[in-house]
Amino acid sequence: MMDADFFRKLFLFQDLEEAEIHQVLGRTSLREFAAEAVIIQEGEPGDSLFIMQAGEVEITKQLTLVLDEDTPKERVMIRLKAEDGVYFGEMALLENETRSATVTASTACSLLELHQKDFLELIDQNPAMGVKLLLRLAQILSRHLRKTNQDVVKLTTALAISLGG
Amino acid sequence: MIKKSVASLIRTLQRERVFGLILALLVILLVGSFGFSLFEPAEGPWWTRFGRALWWGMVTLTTVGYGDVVPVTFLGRLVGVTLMVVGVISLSLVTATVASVFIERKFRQEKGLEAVKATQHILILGWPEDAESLLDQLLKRLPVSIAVVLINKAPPEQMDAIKERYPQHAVFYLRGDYSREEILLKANVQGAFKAIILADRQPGETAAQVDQRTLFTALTLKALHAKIRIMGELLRPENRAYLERAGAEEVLIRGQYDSSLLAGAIASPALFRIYTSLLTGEGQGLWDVEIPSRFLGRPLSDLSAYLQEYHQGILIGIYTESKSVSLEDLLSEEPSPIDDFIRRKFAETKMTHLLGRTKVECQINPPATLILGQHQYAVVIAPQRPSL
Repeated sequence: MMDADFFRKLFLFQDLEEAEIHQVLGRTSLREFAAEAVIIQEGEPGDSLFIMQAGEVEITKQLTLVLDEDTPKERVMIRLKAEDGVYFGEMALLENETRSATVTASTACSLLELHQKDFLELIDQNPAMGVKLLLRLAQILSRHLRKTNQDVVKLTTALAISLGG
Repeated sequence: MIKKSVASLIRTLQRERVFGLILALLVILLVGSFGFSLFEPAEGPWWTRFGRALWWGMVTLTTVGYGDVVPVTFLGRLVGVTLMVVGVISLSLVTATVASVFIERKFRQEKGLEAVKATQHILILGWPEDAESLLDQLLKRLPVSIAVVLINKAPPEQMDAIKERYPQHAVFYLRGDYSREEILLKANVQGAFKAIILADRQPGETAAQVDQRTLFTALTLKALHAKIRIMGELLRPENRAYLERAGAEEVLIRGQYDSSLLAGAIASPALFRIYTSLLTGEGQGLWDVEIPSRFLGRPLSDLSAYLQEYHQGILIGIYTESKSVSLEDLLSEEPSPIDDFIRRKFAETKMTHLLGRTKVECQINPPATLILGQHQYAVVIAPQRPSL
């Protein structure tokens, strides 16, 4: 189960030594989900990161606000496989906010859960490793922000075109 | 196209009860043939006898009268006489009705009531006094293959005279109020690529009413066919913003250039003559030509020297037609949920044509050192369109 090669593929752990990866994994708890089970629900509070070990999940996110019952719900959907080095819920490690997407198990899944409290303790005990982890985390978030900025430009352009034409 | 016109022909024939008449003829034929086979002595089983009777009936009814099969009994001849009389009358009825359908179509076309079937055509909406010179100038510059549809309330005789003046061009006429949807649909607005809305002031109308109609027409045109390019003429300059917002690509204010022309005429009469002769296109005209690929990357002076030497043309400007905002360029190649969402939403509202729009940038009297690039056109004064 503690296959170091598998976990080194994870973007989050790429700077870490093998011993350090084991140290982080030691803080996680194994969670098993049956197919169709909801792992995290958009809009609900959460404080943990999930690292996938086996299985497939489906991430859905609401694209538009639900204004009333009649408006069709626009949702995006991505399927992710454990082999590709998948983790989700990383934003919950940094702040106590609600989940930003819904993750559902499409097959039976086993995941490692890391709570915010354990993560902060880990950084406290081993600041050198903490910096490496936080740096990666910051890179992930800035990547997401860049992507979101691009999406905003696309959407504002689309809006301007559709209203101006 | 063919399917559509066949369907419309069948509908017209139905309306004129042609099918009812044909059915009645068939019944008469069957009854007559039955009578013939009943009264006339003949050999063989009943189906050959009835078949022979049917043949005789058809030959008699259509007034062909081969005479290979003839009735000999009194009752058989009575049936024959009836069939002949009924045949002549009803057959001529069918012929007359079918002919009248075609004649009426031609008549409606002349009166401007028949729907236009042209595609890739130009609509000219409204017919003010000076519209004739517009049509004249337009047809001078257009390829013969592009049809022009005139929609207005002018008398059909006037429009007929205009159509006859340009026999080699496809000029159609539709009579009616062009701000109404059904009239525009009759003109096949979905197939048209350009519409020119003229400020057609009817007696007793105010300028505001005319501009309002132009505005309504532009909105209706865009609603029926979002891709159509609209050029609108207004009487009041303050309405320009509204017409642009309604989707008109070009807006012209009636009399916009009169004051500058008049002032020019007073200051220097010769310049005024030059303006007017360029505008009317007599002798020398203004032409736009696409810059041939062999001039790309070369300075402007090369092109102007070439034009002067071989086409007696003076290059006075350059314009660039570029895609201003192209969403397609912005959307990434690899699938992304947001890109899919945008594409889907545009497709759902049938606005995919907005994903790329053209913008024109003009440069009059550009420097000779300007390097020519792609999507550029040269504006030239020449006796005829220079073919490069």
